[in-house]
Amino acid sequence: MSRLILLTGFLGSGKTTFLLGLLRLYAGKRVHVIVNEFGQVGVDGKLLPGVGTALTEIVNGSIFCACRLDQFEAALEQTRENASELILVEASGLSDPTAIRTVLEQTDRFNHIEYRGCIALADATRLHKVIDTARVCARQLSVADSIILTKTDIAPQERIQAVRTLLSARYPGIPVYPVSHGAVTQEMLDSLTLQYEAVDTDTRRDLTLQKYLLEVSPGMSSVQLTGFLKLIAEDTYRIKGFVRLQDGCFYADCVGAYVKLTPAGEPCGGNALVALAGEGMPLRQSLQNALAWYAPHVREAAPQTD
Amino acid sequence: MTSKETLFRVLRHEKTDTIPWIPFAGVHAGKLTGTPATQVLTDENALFDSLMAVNRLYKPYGQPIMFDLQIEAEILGCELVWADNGPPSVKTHPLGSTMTVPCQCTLPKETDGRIPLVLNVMRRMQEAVGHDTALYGLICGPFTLASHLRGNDLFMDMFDDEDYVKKLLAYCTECGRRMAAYYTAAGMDVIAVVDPLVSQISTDHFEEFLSEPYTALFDAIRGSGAFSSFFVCGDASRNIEAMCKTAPDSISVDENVDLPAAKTITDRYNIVIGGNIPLTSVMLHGSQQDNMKYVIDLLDRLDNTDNFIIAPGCDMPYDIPVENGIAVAQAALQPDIVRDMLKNYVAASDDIHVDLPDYEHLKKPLMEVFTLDSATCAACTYMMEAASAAKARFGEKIDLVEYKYTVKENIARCKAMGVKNLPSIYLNGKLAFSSLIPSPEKLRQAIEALLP
Repeated sequence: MSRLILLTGFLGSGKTTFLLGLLRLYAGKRVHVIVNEFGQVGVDGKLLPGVGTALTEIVNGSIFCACRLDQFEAALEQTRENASELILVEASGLSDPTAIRTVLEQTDRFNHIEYRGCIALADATRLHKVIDTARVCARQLSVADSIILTKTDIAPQERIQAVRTLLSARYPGIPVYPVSHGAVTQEMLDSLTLQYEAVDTDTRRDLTLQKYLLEVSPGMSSVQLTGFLKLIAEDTYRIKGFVRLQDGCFYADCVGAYVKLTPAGEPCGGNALVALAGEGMPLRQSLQNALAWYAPHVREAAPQTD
Repeated sequence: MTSKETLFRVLRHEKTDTIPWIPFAGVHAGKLTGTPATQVLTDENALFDSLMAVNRLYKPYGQPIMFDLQIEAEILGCELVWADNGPPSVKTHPLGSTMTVPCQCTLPKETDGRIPLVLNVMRRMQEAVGHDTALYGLICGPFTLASHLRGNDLFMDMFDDEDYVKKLLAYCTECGRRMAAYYTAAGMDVIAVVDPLVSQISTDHFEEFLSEPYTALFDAIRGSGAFSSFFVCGDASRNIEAMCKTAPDSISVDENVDLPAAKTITDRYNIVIGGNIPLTSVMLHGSQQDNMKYVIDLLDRLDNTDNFIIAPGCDMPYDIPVENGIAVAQAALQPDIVRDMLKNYVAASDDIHVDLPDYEHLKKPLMEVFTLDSATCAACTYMMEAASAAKARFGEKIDLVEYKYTVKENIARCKAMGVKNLPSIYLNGKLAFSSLIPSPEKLRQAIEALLP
């Protein structure tokens, strides 16, 4: 079984530098690196430490694009042949990691891979700019299991603090590690816990917490509900609940932009979803838009305050 | 009414008897002729031959000439990285460290880069199939082109220097306008503006930076007499309404968008929507049945099929099996027949017994042709014609029989024989040719090898 860690982060956030630091921790192990970006720092055979490191470059655009997912899948197949202990995927700065997670869910095709989590890099000097101009930046952070705050050596202290406040408001419970010069520590990897558990441990009292209760019509299909959730998920940090739909009973469990609908057994346990969001997340606006798309299948119950 | 006229009627928002189908076969066209992607995108004859194969096998109502968003960027100084199974990608950004808006004198001319090649193929395709098939000229959208030129910093610029971004987008929009004019003059019926990065920005930013350039671009295309299409990749759901407001004739979306839900928005603006057969999970890895089922299910999920085009979600991956393209085409062209086929496929599992010939003791070679329906499926027609020509040549020395998938018993026979792809030719019970039509010489040799 190969463990897979996904490394994501917006353009210029320092992924390649961090990757090289990560590889130093795994020197001598059988590591397979899948890279999907031409960064300013080159990753090539000479830079990869350890004799067992293999490299696959996906050179045709970002794997956020559905038309290039085939190349990512082919690279994953290749890791089976190499019997790698660790697979590190450095996604393009414009990659939507939810697409990659969807690929990894094909456990019948990739049964040699154990997904260990997603590390997202955030550039302390520029995050406040790109988090609102590039949707994908927020999507990357929303599915992270661990956030690495890079370039803290050159960012002013107040900027670092502002970014940390922003991250903890939008992505509560997710550990944030400040680093400089790609200095990677074992602790960062050891603490990589899938976010499902992490989010539920957040019990802070927060006046800016947004909580919506959504009633779902049994006439809706799972395809439609998935479409609805995709319209709002990136503006939440969690959506969950049991729903009875046209095609069966499902458990919706979304973390950030990652939408997951799993068939569930009887009894179904209701037809309501809870959506949670934090400070600065425009959930109200996106929810209104989504409700208009899928009227009359989803209805908002009274806003929750507890 | 020709396929092209039907597509035109749909783009004019009129009712039609059939639903247009457009295979976005960019590099995948090369798969049909065994040509690597790089050659398809750089060799005029290879591109033309591959597009003709698309036209023959997939029977499109419309088809793109070259699906490569890097043509303009390459001319403007971006270094490309080429691959044999996909379009090239941009490696360097000429404005990456220089925040300037280039002079319009630098914009691509008809004689620059690969434009002459593209224009020649456009003219040749217009001459060869333009009477029946609408032809699509694809240009790189302003936002994606701006990111090709400026690189990573474009998203920072949107925060730091909005004025610069607007000016750079104006330059890229003018580039698109000129490219559209070249392509329209070369006979393109539809200009598709392909801008995958549109899905990566918020609606507010779309409206701030792109609404005006796009409205102007679609106005210009309309003014030149061509139809327009707005292609996006990725989850562009949130921006569909803002895209509608720029007034293209049609919008094309991929599998990330819930098309029936999006269609309620596009219908409100009376804009055609096209899509969105999943490229990898269905077209690349699915079976023929999966592909037909996806199309039929999609049609069944729509409230109405007005203002609708069946198409893959985006540029088809190179290695999509040809038989899957054929299956999608058949489902698009004959949805009612295919719906019955799918029902029969389930029904034929157990209740029909089929006696297969004793292949080991045949008196003479037996050629069995399995088709979706040689009367309606183009690839099946050609496969059956090849078999019939061989039969005419060999006469009584061989036997020939066609099994159409439209007949329930034949579905059971396919299952019993283990036939996976249609059309295919079996010789003495063994698969000899599948999907791609054999040359007369190859078929002759295969049959002669079985003669006593």
